[in-house]
Amino acid sequence: MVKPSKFEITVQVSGDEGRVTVEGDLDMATAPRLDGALQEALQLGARQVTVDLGAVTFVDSSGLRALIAMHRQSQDDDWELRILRPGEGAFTVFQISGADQALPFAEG
Amino acid sequence: VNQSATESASHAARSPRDLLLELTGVPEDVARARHAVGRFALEAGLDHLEIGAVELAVGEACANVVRHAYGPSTGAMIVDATADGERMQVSIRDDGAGIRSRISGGATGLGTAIMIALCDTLEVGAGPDGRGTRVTMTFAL
Repeated sequence: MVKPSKFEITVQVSGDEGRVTVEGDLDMATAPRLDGALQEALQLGARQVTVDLGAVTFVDSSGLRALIAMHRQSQDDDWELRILRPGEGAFTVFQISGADQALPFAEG
Repeated sequence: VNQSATESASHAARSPRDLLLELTGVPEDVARARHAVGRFALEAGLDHLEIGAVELAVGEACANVVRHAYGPSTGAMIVDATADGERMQVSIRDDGAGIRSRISGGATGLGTAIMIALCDTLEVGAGPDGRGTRVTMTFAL
């Protein structure tokens, strides 16, 4: 049987700066944990949040939807979000949906 | 695509042994299906980016099974893949509520749009014995 890939997510907050680092496949099984990590960072006082997808190996529509919801929340609640993009293979869902232009991607 | 690239792709295409996965329609098995089909696509000769596209499309089809086929319960999710040197075909089928349960927009709409964007052909219909749903996608090798 094929083993599921490793998925890890960490939250770091210092002052009003927060960093959510994601590693592994971001899909329907793991995307809810991304939202949980974001809410934790906000509760700890983060108002400038970086979501680092640099070690993400795959993103599906569930991961995309979680990031879109995050972007909308940042606009509604007036905090800053920036997203560090995953590698080329995991970026496909953003490109074909146009989200590569709509989400606040930034260079590391 | 220039001529040398076409020839290279043609030489790289192989016909790996057919893949058959008998899984359950739960989120964790979506990843299992995706990874197994990805390895099959590698053996069939697809490159890194093409494999990513196949994995994404297959994952969305499997996610639709999890979301819609069995309501709050779960059931079988069967994935099979074949390749003939020119194209690779992947089918995802279930014994669930059938195609009418899928026509709901939202998550399914986005997933289906992604599948359409990534595969060469997409067929959606009832399973072999008229039950459930069968999604079949082909990808050029």
